Amino acid sequence: MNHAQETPTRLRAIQLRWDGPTVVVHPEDESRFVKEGAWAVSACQSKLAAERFVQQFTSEFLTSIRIWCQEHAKSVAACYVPLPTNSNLNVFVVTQSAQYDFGLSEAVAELEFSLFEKNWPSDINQIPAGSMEDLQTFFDPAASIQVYGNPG
Amino acid sequence: MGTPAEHRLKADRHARFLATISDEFPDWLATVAFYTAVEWIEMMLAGRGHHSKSHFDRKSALKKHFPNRALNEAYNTLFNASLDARYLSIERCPAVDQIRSELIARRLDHITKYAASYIS
Repeated sequence: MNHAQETPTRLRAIQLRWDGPTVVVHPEDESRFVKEGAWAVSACQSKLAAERFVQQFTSEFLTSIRIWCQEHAKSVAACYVPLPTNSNLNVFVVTQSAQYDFGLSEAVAELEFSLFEKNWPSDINQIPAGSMEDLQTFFDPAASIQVYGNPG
Repeated sequence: MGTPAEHRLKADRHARFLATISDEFPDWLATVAFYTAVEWIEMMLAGRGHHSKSHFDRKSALKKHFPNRALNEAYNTLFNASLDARYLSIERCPAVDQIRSELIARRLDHITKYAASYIS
Protein backbone atom coordinates (compact mmCIF):
# COMPACT_ATOMS: atom_id res chain seq x y z
CA MET A 1 0.00 0.00 0.00
CA ASN A 2 1.39 3.39 -0.94
CA HIS A 3 0.37 5.76 1.83
CA ALA A 4 2.21 8.67 0.24
CA GLN A 5 -0.14 8.54 -2.74
CA GLU A 6 -3.31 7.68 -0.89
CA THR A 7 -3.24 10.12 2.00
CA PRO A 8 -3.93 13.35 0.06
CA THR A 9 -7.00 11.77 -1.60
CA ARG A 10 -8.33 10.48 1.72
CA LEU A 11 -8.13 13.93 3.27
CA ARG A 12 -10.82 15.28 0.98
CA ALA A 13 -14.25 15.41 2.55
CA ILE A 14 -17.26 13.84 0.87
CA GLN A 15 -18.78 16.45 -1.41
CA LEU A 16 -22.47 17.11 -1.96
CA ARG A 17 -24.20 18.41 -5.07
CA TRP A 18 -26.97 20.91 -4.46
CA ASP A 19 -29.57 21.05 -7.21
CA GLY A 20 -32.18 23.50 -6.01
CA PRO A 21 -34.07 21.97 -3.10
CA THR A 22 -32.58 18.50 -3.59
CA VAL A 23 -29.20 17.36 -2.41
CA VAL A 24 -27.24 14.35 -3.62
CA VAL A 25 -23.80 12.99 -2.88
CA HIS A 26 -21.33 13.94 -5.60
CA PRO A 27 -20.99 10.96 -8.02
CA GLU A 28 -17.24 10.76 -7.43
CA ASP A 29 -17.80 10.30 -3.71
CA GLU A 30 -20.83 8.03 -3.87
CA SER A 31 -18.87 4.80 -3.37
CA ARG A 32 -17.19 6.24 -0.29
CA PHE A 33 -20.50 7.45 1.09
CA VAL A 34 -22.09 4.02 0.57
CA LYS A 35 -19.04 2.13 1.79
CA GLU A 36 -18.81 4.27 4.85
CA GLY A 37 -22.59 4.01 5.23
CA ALA A 38 -21.88 1.66 8.09
CA TRP A 39 -21.88 4.86 10.13
CA ALA A 40 -25.62 5.20 9.67
CA VAL A 41 -26.36 1.57 10.50
CA SER A 42 -24.24 1.74 13.63
CA ALA A 43 -25.95 4.99 14.59
CA CYS A 44 -29.43 3.58 14.03
CA GLN A 45 -28.89 -0.13 14.82
CA SER A 46 -31.12 -1.30 11.95
CA LYS A 47 -30.86 -1.00 8.17
CA LEU A 48 -34.41 0.29 7.70
CA ALA A 49 -33.99 2.95 10.37
CA ALA A 50 -30.61 3.81 8.85
CA GLU A 51 -32.09 4.38 5.39
CA ARG A 52 -34.77 6.64 6.82
CA PHE A 53 -32.18 8.40 8.94
CA VAL A 54 -29.89 9.06 5.95
CA GLN A 55 -32.81 10.49 3.95
CA GLN A 56 -33.86 12.86 6.75
CA PHE A 57 -30.27 13.60 7.71
CA THR A 58 -29.62 14.80 4.17
CA SER A 59 -32.87 16.60 3.40
CA GLU A 60 -33.44 18.20 6.81
CA PHE A 61 -30.25 18.42 8.82
CA LEU A 62 -27.63 19.04 6.12
CA THR A 63 -29.93 21.32 4.16
CA SER A 64 -30.68 23.50 7.20
CA ILE A 65 -26.97 23.87 7.87
CA ARG A 66 -26.20 24.62 4.23
CA ILE A 67 -28.84 27.39 4.14
CA TRP A 68 -27.48 28.85 7.38
CA CYS A 69 -23.95 28.89 5.96
CA GLN A 70 -25.16 30.69 2.84
CA GLU A 71 -26.91 33.27 5.01
CA HIS A 72 -23.67 33.85 6.96
CA ALA A 73 -21.29 33.63 4.01
CA LYS A 74 -19.44 36.77 5.10
CA SER A 75 -18.26 34.98 8.22
CA VAL A 76 -18.26 31.33 7.13
CA ALA A 77 -15.62 29.82 4.84
CA ALA A 78 -16.58 26.14 5.04
CA CYS A 79 -18.63 23.68 7.03
CA TYR A 80 -18.13 19.97 7.75
CA VAL A 81 -20.28 17.29 9.34
CA PRO A 82 -18.38 14.18 10.44
CA LEU A 83 -20.27 10.99 9.60
CA PRO A 84 -22.00 10.18 12.89
CA THR A 85 -21.09 6.79 14.37
CA ASN A 86 -23.28 7.19 17.44
CA SER A 87 -26.19 9.44 18.37
CA ASN A 88 -23.94 12.52 18.58
CA LEU A 89 -24.07 14.89 15.61
CA ASN A 90 -21.16 17.29 15.31
CA VAL A 91 -20.83 20.28 13.00
CA PHE A 92 -17.65 22.26 12.42
CA VAL A 93 -18.02 25.74 10.98
CA VAL A 94 -14.73 27.07 9.60
CA THR A 95 -14.79 30.84 9.86
CA GLN A 96 -13.31 33.45 7.55
CA SER A 97 -11.59 34.86 10.61
CA ALA A 98 -8.23 33.45 11.72
CA GLN A 99 -9.34 33.76 15.36
CA TYR A 100 -12.51 32.87 17.22
CA ASP A 101 -15.34 35.00 15.80
CA PHE A 102 -17.33 36.29 18.77
CA GLY A 103 -19.65 38.10 16.36
CA LEU A 104 -20.81 34.74 15.01
CA SER A 105 -21.46 33.13 18.41
CA GLU A 106 -25.11 34.09 18.72
CA ALA A 107 -25.93 32.87 15.20
CA VAL A 108 -24.18 29.54 15.82
CA ALA A 109 -26.02 29.08 19.12
CA GLU A 110 -29.32 29.94 17.44
CA LEU A 111 -28.69 27.37 14.70
CA GLU A 112 -27.90 24.73 17.32
CA PHE A 113 -31.05 25.63 19.25
CA SER A 114 -33.30 25.55 16.19
CA LEU A 115 -31.91 22.14 15.15
CA PHE A 116 -32.47 20.87 18.70
CA GLU A 117 -36.10 21.98 18.48
CA LYS A 118 -36.40 20.02 15.22
CA ASN A 119 -35.11 16.90 17.00
CA TRP A 120 -31.60 17.20 15.62
CA PRO A 121 -29.55 17.65 18.80
CA SER A 122 -26.07 18.56 17.66
CA ASP A 123 -22.85 20.13 18.80
CA ILE A 124 -21.92 23.01 16.50
CA ASN A 125 -18.53 24.61 16.90
CA GLN A 126 -16.60 27.19 14.96
CA ILE A 127 -12.95 26.74 14.05
CA PRO A 128 -10.84 29.69 12.90
CA ALA A 129 -9.58 29.53 9.31
CA GLY A 130 -6.40 27.52 8.97
CA SER A 131 -4.90 24.56 7.19
CA MET A 132 -6.56 21.20 6.57
CA GLU A 133 -4.11 19.77 9.10
CA ASP A 134 -5.52 22.16 11.73
CA LEU A 135 -8.99 20.76 11.08
CA GLN A 136 -7.70 17.27 11.84
CA THR A 137 -7.14 18.43 15.42
CA PHE A 138 -10.92 18.44 15.78
CA PHE A 139 -12.22 15.85 13.32
CA ASP A 140 -11.28 13.64 10.38
CA PRO A 141 -12.11 15.55 7.18
CA ALA A 142 -11.90 12.32 5.17
CA ALA A 143 -14.75 10.84 7.20
CA SER A 144 -16.86 13.97 6.93
CA ILE A 145 -19.35 15.59 4.61
CA GLN A 146 -18.49 19.05 3.37
CA VAL A 147 -21.76 20.94 3.52
CA TYR A 148 -20.42 24.31 2.47
CA GLY A 149 -17.32 25.93 0.99
CA ASN A 150 -14.76 25.07 -1.61
CA PRO A 151 -13.42 21.51 -1.49
CA GLY A 152 -10.19 21.44 0.51
CA MET B 1 -22.12 13.00 39.88
CA GLY B 2 -22.61 15.54 42.64
CA THR B 3 -25.24 17.41 44.58
CA PRO B 4 -26.12 21.00 43.66
CA ALA B 5 -24.22 22.17 46.76
CA GLU B 6 -21.10 20.24 45.72
CA HIS B 7 -21.18 21.74 42.23
CA ARG B 8 -21.65 25.21 43.70
CA LEU B 9 -18.62 24.71 45.93
CA LYS B 10 -16.52 23.69 42.92
CA ALA B 11 -17.79 26.62 40.88
CA ASP B 12 -16.72 29.00 43.66
CA ARG B 13 -13.28 27.36 43.86
CA HIS B 14 -12.82 27.54 40.06
CA ALA B 15 -13.87 31.22 40.11
CA ARG B 16 -11.29 31.98 42.80
CA PHE B 17 -8.60 30.21 40.79
CA LEU B 18 -9.69 32.07 37.64
CA ALA B 19 -9.10 35.37 39.44
CA THR B 20 -5.45 34.40 40.03
CA ILE B 21 -4.57 33.69 36.37
CA SER B 22 -2.55 36.40 34.66
CA ASP B 23 -2.88 37.75 31.13
CA GLU B 24 0.14 35.67 30.21
CA PHE B 25 -2.07 32.57 29.96
CA PRO B 26 -5.15 33.36 27.82
CA ASP B 27 -5.64 29.67 27.04
CA TRP B 28 -5.91 28.83 30.73
CA LEU B 29 -8.15 31.84 31.39
CA ALA B 30 -10.56 30.51 28.76
CA THR B 31 -10.29 26.94 30.02
CA VAL B 32 -10.88 27.73 33.70
CA ALA B 33 -13.71 30.13 32.77
CA PHE B 34 -15.36 27.28 30.86
CA TYR B 35 -14.98 24.77 33.68
CA THR B 36 -16.39 27.31 36.13
CA ALA B 37 -19.42 27.54 33.85
CA VAL B 38 -19.60 23.73 33.71
CA GLU B 39 -19.99 23.59 37.49
CA TRP B 40 -22.73 26.25 37.51
CA ILE B 41 -24.60 24.41 34.78
CA GLU B 42 -24.14 21.05 36.51
CA MET B 43 -25.43 22.61 39.72
CA MET B 44 -28.59 23.71 37.91
CA LEU B 45 -29.00 20.36 36.12
CA ALA B 46 -28.42 18.41 39.33
CA GLY B 47 -31.34 20.36 40.77
CA ARG B 48 -33.44 18.82 37.98
CA GLY B 49 -32.04 15.35 38.64
CA HIS B 50 -29.74 15.33 35.62
CA HIS B 51 -26.05 14.40 35.82
CA SER B 52 -24.23 14.86 32.51
CA LYS B 53 -22.22 12.01 31.04
CA SER B 54 -20.43 14.09 28.42
CA HIS B 55 -20.13 17.61 27.02
CA PHE B 56 -22.66 16.68 24.32
CA ASP B 57 -25.09 15.36 26.92
CA ARG B 58 -24.71 18.56 28.99
CA LYS B 59 -25.44 20.84 26.03
CA SER B 60 -28.57 18.87 25.15
CA ALA B 61 -29.74 18.74 28.76
CA LEU B 62 -29.24 22.48 29.15
CA LYS B 63 -31.46 23.15 26.13
CA LYS B 64 -34.07 20.73 27.41
CA HIS B 65 -34.22 21.86 31.06
CA PHE B 66 -33.28 25.53 30.64
CA PRO B 67 -34.36 26.64 27.15
CA ASN B 68 -33.14 30.18 27.69
CA ARG B 69 -31.47 31.46 24.50
CA ALA B 70 -28.97 33.80 26.21
CA LEU B 71 -27.96 31.18 28.78
CA ASN B 72 -27.34 28.57 26.10
CA GLU B 73 -25.46 31.02 23.90
CA ALA B 74 -23.22 31.97 26.84
CA TYR B 75 -22.44 28.33 27.62
CA ASN B 76 -21.87 27.39 23.96
CA THR B 77 -19.48 30.29 23.48
CA LEU B 78 -17.46 29.38 26.57
CA PHE B 79 -17.34 25.76 25.40
CA ASN B 80 -16.31 26.62 21.84
CA ALA B 81 -13.82 29.41 22.54
CA SER B 82 -12.09 27.41 25.27
CA LEU B 83 -11.94 24.39 22.97
CA ASP B 84 -10.14 26.52 20.37
CA ALA B 85 -7.89 27.99 23.08
CA ARG B 86 -6.88 24.53 24.27
CA TYR B 87 -6.32 22.86 20.92
CA LEU B 88 -5.02 25.59 18.61
CA SER B 89 -1.69 27.38 18.67
CA ILE B 90 -1.30 30.39 20.98
CA GLU B 91 -1.35 32.76 17.97
CA ARG B 92 -4.84 31.53 17.07
CA CYS B 93 -6.14 31.45 20.64
CA PRO B 94 -8.68 34.23 21.34
CA ALA B 95 -6.90 37.41 22.49
CA VAL B 96 -6.67 37.95 26.24
CA ASP B 97 -8.75 41.15 26.17
CA GLN B 98 -11.52 39.29 24.33
CA ILE B 99 -11.36 36.44 26.80
CA ARG B 100 -11.70 38.86 29.68
CA SER B 101 -14.45 40.98 28.11
CA GLU B 102 -16.42 38.51 25.95
CA LEU B 103 -15.96 35.26 27.85
CA ILE B 104 -15.50 36.18 31.50
CA ALA B 105 -17.15 39.59 32.00
CA ARG B 106 -20.05 38.79 29.68
CA ARG B 107 -20.79 35.07 29.22
CA LEU B 108 -19.47 33.62 32.49
CA ASP B 109 -20.99 36.53 34.41
CA HIS B 110 -24.36 35.84 32.76
CA ILE B 111 -24.22 32.15 33.70
CA THR B 112 -23.11 32.96 37.25
CA LYS B 113 -26.00 35.40 37.74
CA TYR B 114 -28.49 33.03 36.16
CA ALA B 115 -27.32 30.22 38.44
CA ALA B 116 -27.47 32.51 41.49
CA SER B 117 -31.05 33.48 40.65
CA TYR B 118 -31.88 29.80 40.23
CA ILE B 119 -30.65 29.09 43.76
CA SER B 120 -32.52 31.92 45.40
